[in-house]
Amino acid sequence: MTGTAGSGTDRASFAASGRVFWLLPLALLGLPLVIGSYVQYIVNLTLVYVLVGVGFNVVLGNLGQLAFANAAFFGIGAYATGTLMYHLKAPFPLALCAGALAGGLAGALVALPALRGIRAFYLAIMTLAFGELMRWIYINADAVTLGSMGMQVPRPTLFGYVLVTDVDKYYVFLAVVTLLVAATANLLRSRVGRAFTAIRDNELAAASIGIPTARYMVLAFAWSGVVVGTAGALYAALVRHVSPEAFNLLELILHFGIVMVGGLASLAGSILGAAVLTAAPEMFRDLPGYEELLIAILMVAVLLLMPKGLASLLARASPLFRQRYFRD
Amino acid sequence: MLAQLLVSGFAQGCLYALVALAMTVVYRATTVVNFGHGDLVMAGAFCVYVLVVLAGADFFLSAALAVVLLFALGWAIQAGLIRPILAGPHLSLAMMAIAVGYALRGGARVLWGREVLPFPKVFPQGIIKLGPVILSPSDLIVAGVVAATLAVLAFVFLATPVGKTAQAVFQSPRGAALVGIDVGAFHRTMWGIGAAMAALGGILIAPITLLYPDMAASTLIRGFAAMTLGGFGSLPGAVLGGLLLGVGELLVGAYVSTKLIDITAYLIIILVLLLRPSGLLGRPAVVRV
Amino acid sequence: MARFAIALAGAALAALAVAPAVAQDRTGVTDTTIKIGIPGPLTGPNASFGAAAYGIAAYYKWVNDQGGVHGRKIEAILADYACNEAKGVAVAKKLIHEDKVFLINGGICSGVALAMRPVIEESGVPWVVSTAVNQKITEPVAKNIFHGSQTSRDAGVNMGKFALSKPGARKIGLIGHTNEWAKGYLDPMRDQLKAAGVAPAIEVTMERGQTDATAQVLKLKEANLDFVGVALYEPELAIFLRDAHKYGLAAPKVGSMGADYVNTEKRLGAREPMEGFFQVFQYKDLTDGPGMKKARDMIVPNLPAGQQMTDFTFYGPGSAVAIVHVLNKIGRDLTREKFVAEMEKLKDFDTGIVAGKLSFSPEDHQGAHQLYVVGYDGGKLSVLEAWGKKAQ
Repeated sequence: MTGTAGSGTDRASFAASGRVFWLLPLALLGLPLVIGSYVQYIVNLTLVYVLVGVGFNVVLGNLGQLAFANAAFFGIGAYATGTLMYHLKAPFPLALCAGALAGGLAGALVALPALRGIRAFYLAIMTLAFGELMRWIYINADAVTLGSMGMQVPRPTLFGYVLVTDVDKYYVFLAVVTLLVAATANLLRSRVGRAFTAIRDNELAAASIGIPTARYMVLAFAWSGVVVGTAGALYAALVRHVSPEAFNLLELILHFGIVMVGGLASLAGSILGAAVLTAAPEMFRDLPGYEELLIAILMVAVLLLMPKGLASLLARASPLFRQRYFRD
Repeated sequence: MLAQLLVSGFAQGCLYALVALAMTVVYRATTVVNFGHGDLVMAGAFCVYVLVVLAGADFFLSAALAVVLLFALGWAIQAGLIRPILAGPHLSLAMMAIAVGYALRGGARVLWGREVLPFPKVFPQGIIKLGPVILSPSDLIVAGVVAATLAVLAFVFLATPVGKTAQAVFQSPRGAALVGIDVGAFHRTMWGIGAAMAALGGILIAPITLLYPDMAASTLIRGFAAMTLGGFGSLPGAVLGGLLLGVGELLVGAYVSTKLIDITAYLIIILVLLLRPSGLLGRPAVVRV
Repeated sequence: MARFAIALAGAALAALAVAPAVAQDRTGVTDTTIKIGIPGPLTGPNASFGAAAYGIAAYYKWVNDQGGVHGRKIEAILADYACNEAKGVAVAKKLIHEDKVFLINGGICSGVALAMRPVIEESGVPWVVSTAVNQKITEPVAKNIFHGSQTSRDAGVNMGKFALSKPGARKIGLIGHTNEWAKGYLDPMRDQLKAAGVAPAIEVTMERGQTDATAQVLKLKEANLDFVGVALYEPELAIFLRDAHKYGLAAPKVGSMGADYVNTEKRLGAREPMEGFFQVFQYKDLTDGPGMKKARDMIVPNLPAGQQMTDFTFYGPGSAVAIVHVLNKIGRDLTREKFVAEMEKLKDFDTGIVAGKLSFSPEDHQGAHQLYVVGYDGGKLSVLEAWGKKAQ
């Protein structure tokens, strides 16, 4: 568990490395100038899945809990946002906050059984059931959700300005994603993040040195829910159609793929994983029909050969990255 | 109607029980829950299809061969994919099981995803009337196979050293190895048996659902519900849970609403784990912190 | 001053009226090719519906082999979205901005088509919907979007009419999935029944992936029905019919599109459960019947290797036939504006595949409405117009 402050690096260079984080979004500001409309959409979708991966990773990688409710958080965020925009014509920032909040509440709710001592496979199965139950609710609460046809979400508005093009959305998304990723990074580097790690590595030991494990567990799930719920909100604004089938078990497998292929407990890994798997249909364009098989094989290969995911490749290539963003 | 619902629910429950039994065997012996079990069920059914329809073999020979092939597949999955990461977290094991299942499904889709495959008709057609209750021959065959499987498993786990071995390996693989048990071989064999039972399930389910790559997707979560209800890790519990789920679904569907059939399994999982995590016949499922 | 304002407004109006005629959009057309995008589910759980997309591509191949359209070959671009909405929007953007197709001909899975609608509508690229049945894809009218196949409303109305055409049919029950696809059939069927003063006696649901329909069948049986309306996908339809046969639910049944009659019988492996089951049918004739021979000869030899002919193979090429007809009519000087204008003028066009004839107008972009019913009549698989009445 090295890699954070105090591993021998001096403070100044560590602070400098922190600023490197902000270079990436800055560099990305110019991206729309060089890409077309279709690629812009894929990039926006990638940003959505970056949050999905980053949020999921908090529970999966950092807290080490086998929770399968991520597609549910994603859907709850999307539905909360879509419902407010569709029924109440809410402005996008408000609907976005509602999506994040709903995701966070769902996260806290899912943490409750964990407090009752339900762990590992039991938690997995229970959260799996929760996700499927949510899908049933989307279909049957049709007065609010419009049932299985889903909702046609109106164009998002930002302080009276309508976000029409994917480039408009891109800058909003980039800002939201950058903020949440930075916040997650800070959270994980803090005392709270270390508590998550302690719980993952040995819960009993963590409890015995006075870490209030229950409180941290709820916090981790809730934060994961906030991040993934926000991803759902962005999804609603991007695709502008929210329907139950978008949050099924296949979607969940994609979320797992992003985290595992990118690298467990690695923020940069989740970003990489999201980029790789969102672009997957492009990569497999010459092999139609093979996408599922190839993604599955990619997951098996990563699990067997590169348990730390693609992030470990980055770590090998860049000492700065390794020192700051990678733990082994 | 009630008598019919109970009998039909029992028959349907037998299929859930078979899925739950197979997952319980693997779990009891290796502490791993196979999240890809549904896809092994599918793989078993496709094996039979290939042997009967494409290679022209006899059905019973094909079925036996499919069970053997799936045993080999389960064995190979453990040896090649699970064993190397066995020391890793639960999470990786669950992910590996999901990924393997996803690969099987993706492979089936590449080969047969765009067409409908008729499964060979092997069960006698027609119906059997017992008073007001109607049964099909396949109901009886499914119930018979599940009963026989349970009897064999009960014998193996209770009357032979396998039960004790499983207990020892489950509690402490290292301790078991110290007293001379070949833990690796035991794990591989149990994965093989679990997969072979999946093939059995596939052969029984396929004439009902017919063949398509997602045919067993919904049986997985019902298998989980059966395991949870009966008590995780308990063989008789898996059967009891499966039967209760089968009957419960039909009763809910007939007397409350058909909309609730699909979520009976999810509600059972959530309620049982919240209220009585040990299920009906199992040991406590919670950790104390 | 006022006169000046009026003149100015008049000039502005005239400019507006002229403007579209001036801006002629020839994207996707070269001297030798016309690019047409065919979006559909080629992978994923609904990949079997992708047969419609392959059918369209096969038809365009046939057109090219005949010399193409006014010297131009059709360059068909298949694009897969696996019935996933986010991917569907991506595919629409790819076809519009990346491949720069002249028009889009496809769309299978109504949810995805609904998600694609705003993207395509804004782009102005003509889209002839080939297969997705939800009427909201073309309602309200979007200038550049046309429905080349019957909508689920047509089918639902037809299901209601067929049930009512059986003399004395008053007690009618419904079974369907809870999804929008099933509602798309059962809602208009219910309306059709209500218009005739018949309220459904009972309605039950069956979720996707269920392997048993005992509860549903027993409830329907207890209601003592004269007819049952069924909106289930093929795997669940087979299970429902099997259990209906097993428990003796004797009332005749009429099913929606989206399942293949012959394949359902193949799944069941027996004729008996199919007796008394009828299904809405969107073609001129059975796909292996004499009325479809011409379509078979055009399409089947041009399917890619490994792609079998199913009923779904023809669920799309009908709209493609209409497109090629319109392209031929426009001539060498091809623009998107002309294509849309000519589509709106298409009247009583016989595609040789789709039942009935296609007619569009500026107010109505849903071209096909006629439907038949397929089922066993006197022991022989037949296409029917009404209960006991063969289609002409």
